[in-house]
Amino acid sequence: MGPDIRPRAAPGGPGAASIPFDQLLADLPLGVLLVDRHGIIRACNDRARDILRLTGDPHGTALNTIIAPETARELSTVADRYREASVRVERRDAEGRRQWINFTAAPASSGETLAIVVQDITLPVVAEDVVDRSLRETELLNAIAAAASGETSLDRILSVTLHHLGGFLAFTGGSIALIEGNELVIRAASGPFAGEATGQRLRRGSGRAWQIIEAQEPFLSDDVLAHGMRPTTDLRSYLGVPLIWAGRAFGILEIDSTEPAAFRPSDVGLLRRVAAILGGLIQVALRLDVEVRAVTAADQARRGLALVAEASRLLASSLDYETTLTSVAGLLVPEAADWVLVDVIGDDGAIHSIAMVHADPKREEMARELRRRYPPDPARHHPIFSVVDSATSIVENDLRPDTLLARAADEAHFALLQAIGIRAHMVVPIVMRGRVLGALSLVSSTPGRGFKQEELELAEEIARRAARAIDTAHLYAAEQRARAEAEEAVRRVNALNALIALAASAMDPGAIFDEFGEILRTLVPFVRLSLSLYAPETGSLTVPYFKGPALDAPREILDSPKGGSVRGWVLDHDRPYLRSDTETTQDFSEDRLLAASGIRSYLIVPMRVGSTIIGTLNFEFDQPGAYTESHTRTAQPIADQLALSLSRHQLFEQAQRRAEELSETLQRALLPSGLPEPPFMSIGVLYLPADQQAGIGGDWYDALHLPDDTVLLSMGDVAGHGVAAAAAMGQVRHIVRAYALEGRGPEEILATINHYLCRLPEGPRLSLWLGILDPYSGELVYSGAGHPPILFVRPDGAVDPLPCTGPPVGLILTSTHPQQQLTLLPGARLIACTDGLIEAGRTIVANELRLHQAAAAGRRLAAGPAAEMIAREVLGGHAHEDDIAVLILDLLPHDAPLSFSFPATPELLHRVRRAIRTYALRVGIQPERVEELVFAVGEASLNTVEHAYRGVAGRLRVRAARDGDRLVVTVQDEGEWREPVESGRGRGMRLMRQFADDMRLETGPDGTVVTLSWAIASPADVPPAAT
Amino acid sequence: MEVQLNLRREDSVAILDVAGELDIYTSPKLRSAIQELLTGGTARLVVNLVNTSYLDSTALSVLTSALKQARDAGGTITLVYNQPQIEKIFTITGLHEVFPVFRTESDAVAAARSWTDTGRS
Repeated sequence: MGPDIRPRAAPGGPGAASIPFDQLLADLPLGVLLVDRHGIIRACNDRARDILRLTGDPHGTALNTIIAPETARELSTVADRYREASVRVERRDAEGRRQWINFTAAPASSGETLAIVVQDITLPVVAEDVVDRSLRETELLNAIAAAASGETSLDRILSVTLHHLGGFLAFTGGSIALIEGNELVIRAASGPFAGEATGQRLRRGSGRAWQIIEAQEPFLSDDVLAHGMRPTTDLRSYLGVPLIWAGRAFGILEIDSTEPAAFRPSDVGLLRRVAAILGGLIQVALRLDVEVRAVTAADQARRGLALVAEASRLLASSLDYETTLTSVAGLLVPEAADWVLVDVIGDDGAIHSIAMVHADPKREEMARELRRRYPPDPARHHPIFSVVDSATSIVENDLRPDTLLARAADEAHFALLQAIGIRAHMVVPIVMRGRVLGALSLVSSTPGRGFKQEELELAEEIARRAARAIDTAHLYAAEQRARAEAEEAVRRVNALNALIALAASAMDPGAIFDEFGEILRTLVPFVRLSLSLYAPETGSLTVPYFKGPALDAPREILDSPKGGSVRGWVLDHDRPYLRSDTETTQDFSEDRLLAASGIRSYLIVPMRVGSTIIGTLNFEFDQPGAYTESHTRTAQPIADQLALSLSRHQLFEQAQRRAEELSETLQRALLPSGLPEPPFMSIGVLYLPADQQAGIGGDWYDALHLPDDTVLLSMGDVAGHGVAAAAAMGQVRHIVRAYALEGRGPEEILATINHYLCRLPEGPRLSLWLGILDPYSGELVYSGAGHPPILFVRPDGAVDPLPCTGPPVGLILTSTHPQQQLTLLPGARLIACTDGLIEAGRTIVANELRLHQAAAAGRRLAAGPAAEMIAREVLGGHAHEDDIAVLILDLLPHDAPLSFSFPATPELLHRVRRAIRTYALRVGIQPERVEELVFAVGEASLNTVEHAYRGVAGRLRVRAARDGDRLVVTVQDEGEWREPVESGRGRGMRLMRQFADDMRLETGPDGTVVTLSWAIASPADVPPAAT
Repeated sequence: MEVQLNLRREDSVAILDVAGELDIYTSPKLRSAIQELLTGGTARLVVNLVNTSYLDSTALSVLTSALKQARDAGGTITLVYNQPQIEKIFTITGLHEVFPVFRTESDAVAAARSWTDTGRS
């Protein structure tokens, strides 16, 4: 693994290559401390500083100053051993405020640094206190309910209640008094004066107790003397709560203490709840005790009590409130109602059904359908909304069909309501800490079965417990979440650490993607991970890499246009997108295809580099609901990191590609696009780029028809490849041309180039051969600089290498390249090639031998085909890693047809006259007629040339050949058709007709062709004409 | 291939020696040389073509239009040549009857001068 997180003391490490480390640290959504082996803090981001309420930068100070030494030690030891350690520390900040801090430590990959994620969990911990009390309260109420439900004696119920209450609240004395006629009778008491108190009677209207009963409000006194009470004992604090049933107070629950301010306001609530339970219990007991009620009624009440007890047990037993509430709802069916629902209000204000049980499974299905198709609608006066708004229960007995119809959205809704059978219902708010969390609804489908007051109170009690259960579960979930987030944060820190190392590595993008995938797997689950790159120029997405099973589905999932696709959506909105089930939701083009290939859920995350989105990272899973918002948060920074790594490589590749393109362009620009076609000679060339394109080769060939009618030939090879070599080749080629045009010879040109290159800093070195040939005389002047020998093929087929005359140019400032001379006879050939040919495949010796053999064998071939044949023969199918250039020059035999061309410009017209004069004499035209012939051909060439004065450059081609006893000359204007120029042309035509034996003029779309012919009087050999 | 023009004077007569080839590329030089003389008031000219190896229809056009200008200015242009191929060109084109043509320069000069002496005939 590569570099680890670097402390700020050592910036610029390899890990810092792509993201400045401090930036990374600052951007983390977590407080992070980096601590070295010696417990010294090396980095601390602002968030950590905020959480720890540090005033200065702790960089360089010991971790001990923040947490106790033994805790710090433990943290690092455990982290070392188990790769992760978590400790919760209670501390006080500088201002003495209590704080709970969670430290989660993980060693960085090198082991040298410990990354510590710092989290303030003070709130969850405080909440835990609340949870604690709430749980104990629940236990208390459960115990009271459970104990009481087994008792039928009223006095026993009351003493058990006081006993349990005493275990929960610290009070000196407690009592429960019930109204009997006009008196209040203490039926149960606890504490030092319990014996005396029991059975005491208090007349209506006298004392605090009666006030409380009449006001139906609890009364709490921190100091009874201050409240004007005259206790008979030394009690100081007092709390009294009325016992109320069916809106009527029927007794009082009182506790007192010898301590002042012994009771808290929260105890009032507790006592009220106890009182509420007692209400039901006492009523049942009273009825049993006093009136001997009907057996059914008694049974029902007993069942009700049992329900409360069981519900309480369930509610207290589990923190998974959805399951629990469903169990509680199940408990209430069919005893208390036919249909029970529990709904909660989400943060968005929407109603979510979390539990629903119907006595009849078929109707339960209908009930679910009802909720699915017709969720509670405030506009249709669904009672749940008024219950939630007012926090007050609603009971509606004898619900008439017309009421239901009025509330139904449509006929189908009404039909469904009727099918379920809604005769009566009560909806009870679930309230916790003053906030309505939801509602408990009980529905009766039995005709004539309404809900009575005591049933409502029973439901309200269960709702209260449900509220506590929900609240507890929320707190617990928050705690769990905080813990999970801390753990995930550590994993993220570790992963990011590894990713930074990866990003800085020189791996190719495919390997990087692979590694990223492995690291990602530990953070976000997937069965397949793929990457889609967006090409703005085509508007399409391509998938260069993926991990996991290949798709059975067609490529269209992978490579697709952006429009209509979820990946396109993500690109456009720069937001992640998650799909929980592709089978139920198919909004995007991919959904159906993915569902068909077994992918049920996915998460698509944009990959950003700065403000540019280069593509998406796609997580896919074969089960529905695999992804959550938390995965999104984890995946986003990693996708961005991956984007950064890939774009670095992409840029590099682009640069490489551009360099290659540039090389090719340069090469094309540097090699002559066409070769000159001087008279009496023929040039053939072959250029083979290297098999493995290592950029441009530095080989070149060139031929230039010089103003003095000689021809410059050059061939060179710059050491090295690529743009630099090509540029050097271009420079040298043009220097050669410029000097040759000035009339300098090969030796002088080589000397100039040598000086030029030797003086260039890091100037290239190159082999070069230059020759200047006079095609009329066959005289060749040449000079070579480190170039492979030029082969000279005599007309009789003998092959000789021409000696190389000096070292490569650009090597030694003082080197010279003496010029050599050679006269070629008509029919002779020169073969020049670069070392790419003779060094390809076999040994140089073997190749040179083959080259000689091929040169001899191919001597009857024209120059162009010969060049190809020679290259083919020498290579013999072997690969060549270097460029190959072959140039062949033939000095044509005297009896070969004449064909030459040149740019149709006035200053070059003399070339036609010279060539045709020479050729006419060679083929045996009578010397006295030669000038007439020259004149006629000159006139024939004029028309084309005259156009050059008008800015239309053409090319003039002249051919001459013997045809039996005639010489036929054609002058062709190669280019578009041009109107003949009139001035003086009539005279020219007349002259041509007079001077030639025959003359024809043809004009066509390709230009004008003038054909002239003369009789060859004597076939006798005429010696070549000198110029 | 170039053309060499050399200007000499004999009294009121200007003599232009043309050495080399007169073609579409070199004839404009002859034209501007004659133009300069005519503009400068010299209307009696001898163009010596004895050393001219080649002459095409553009050269003929230059000479013909120069002759017309010289005549308009009260002068003339006389030619000197003796090469068979040049002779043939002038004969075929009929220009040998338009220009006063001589085989020697002295005859041409004398004719040019006498043209001036005798006036328009």
